[in-house]
Amino acid sequence: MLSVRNVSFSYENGSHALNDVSLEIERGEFVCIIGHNGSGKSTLAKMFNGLLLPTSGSVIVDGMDTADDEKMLDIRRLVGIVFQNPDNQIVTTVVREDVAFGPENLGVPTDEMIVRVDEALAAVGMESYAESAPHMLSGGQKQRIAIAGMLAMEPQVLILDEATAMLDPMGRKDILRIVRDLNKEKGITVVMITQYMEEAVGTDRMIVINDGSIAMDGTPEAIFARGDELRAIGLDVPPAVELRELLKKREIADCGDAMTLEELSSSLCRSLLKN
Amino acid sequence: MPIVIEKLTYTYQSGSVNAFTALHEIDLTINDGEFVGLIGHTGSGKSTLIQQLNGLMQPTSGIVKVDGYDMSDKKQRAKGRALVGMVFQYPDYQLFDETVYKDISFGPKNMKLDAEEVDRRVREAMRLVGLDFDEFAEKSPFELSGGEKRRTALAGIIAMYPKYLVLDEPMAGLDPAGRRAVLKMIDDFRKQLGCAVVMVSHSMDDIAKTADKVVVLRDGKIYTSGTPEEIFSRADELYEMGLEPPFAARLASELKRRGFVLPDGIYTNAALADALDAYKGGLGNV
Repeated sequence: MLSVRNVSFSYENGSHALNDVSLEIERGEFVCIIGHNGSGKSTLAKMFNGLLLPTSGSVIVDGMDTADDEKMLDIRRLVGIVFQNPDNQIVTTVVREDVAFGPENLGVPTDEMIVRVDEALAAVGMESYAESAPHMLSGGQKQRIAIAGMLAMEPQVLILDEATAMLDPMGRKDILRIVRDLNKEKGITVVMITQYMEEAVGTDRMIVINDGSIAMDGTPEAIFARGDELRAIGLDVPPAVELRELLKKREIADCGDAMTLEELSSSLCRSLLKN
Repeated sequence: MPIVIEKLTYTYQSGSVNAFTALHEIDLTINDGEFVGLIGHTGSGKSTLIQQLNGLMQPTSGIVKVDGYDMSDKKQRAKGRALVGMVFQYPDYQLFDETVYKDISFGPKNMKLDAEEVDRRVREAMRLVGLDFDEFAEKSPFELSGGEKRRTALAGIIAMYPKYLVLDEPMAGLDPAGRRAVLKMIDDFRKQLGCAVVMVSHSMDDIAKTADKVVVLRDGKIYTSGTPEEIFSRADELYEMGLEPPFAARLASELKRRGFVLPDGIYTNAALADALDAYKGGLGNV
């Protein structure tokens, strides 16, 4: 679905953001990309729909090269991006109009548009806000509207570029649940860029970016087993993994590859409670 | 002298049909040098409350006094405001000058300090926030990464030597190393400058590491306040309110439900590991 081939990218001031990155993301995958501030992960996100073009190498979206001007509109239709700051993504004064903004630009006929907007708002649980003013909504609600705006364009790939970074824990959980459902039920390919390690738990695959290159690529289980390497590049492990490491080091319990509170508590009951 | 808030009520668009009371009869004291963590979910009134601390908003009723200066009084407000440094969630909105140096020196210059003292403070503030002077002083704030912008915004505030430092989500959007660094930095200059800190954060794990006092806001009222031990031992209650208590506190509570006997007030992984040590090797004392 997304194919990144030997991509390097330098900004105008000469700083190298990506260094010969190659990766393949399959249709229907739920991928999480993690890296510290300035690692190049946001640059990579902007490559996926041609917002940025490689300095060398190529990015192929469903067979189309992002460097091909004629394919740009098709690529933008296929790949939707939601960014970090919800305020920068709201363009109108009524939620319904905001969600309709993208498809309108694509020339979707009115009848179909109404259906698409209603469906998109339902998918993010915001149907009752269709006539509300976006600026009255919370950050989490604004992000849901931004996602609905993307969904109304019926994309096959949804990129979340730190879309939960400014939200409270409830807002973050809502967004995660919504994109997980979109991935499972509608088969939308999701690429989630985040700095919250616990958000990677439950995705299919984690890609760790460091200094513009891919440092690790694997399942969350496999990658979170490499806690020391993650910390060495400014990252971390989820709190459940941190405790698991501590319990193992102190020879209190071996909790295997538990990554969540539920997994850890079940494992501890099995290994430490004798009834 | 502390910040004293008594029966503070604040109503948006007071008197109109859209009137909305965001704060109800808040009583709160922030003592000299204290580190206060302010938590509550979106819409609980946190942002409204902190904007009262430097007089950006004034009470509809009740009193906010900063070191005795009544923030409802225009003349006294200017004096009170000078003691309170405020860093907002989006540093982009706070940076405006051509270079990092000019941006950080803006506040101290406004305080009518002489050029030598301004320069000394800018250099000190940059050192405290970990921005290398030679590398960053002449850079445009717009060339900076998110974390560097936040450090610059922080430096601009601490260069004014505030007696009270008020921070709205200072770690939001930073990577784990950045979060640790900013938290340590805040604690460092609290110790070095002796200022009090009021920090709004969704991350109770971060608040658990540094705060002396935790205040929980809910629907514009103080729901509860106390030491981190007191507050986080009520992990289940906080979780049901839509907040995210420290991971160790939630796990400890879940383990107790499932039959473990653990002491109250656990909210760090290290303390939980200590408590679980008694169960080592499956010799549970049940």
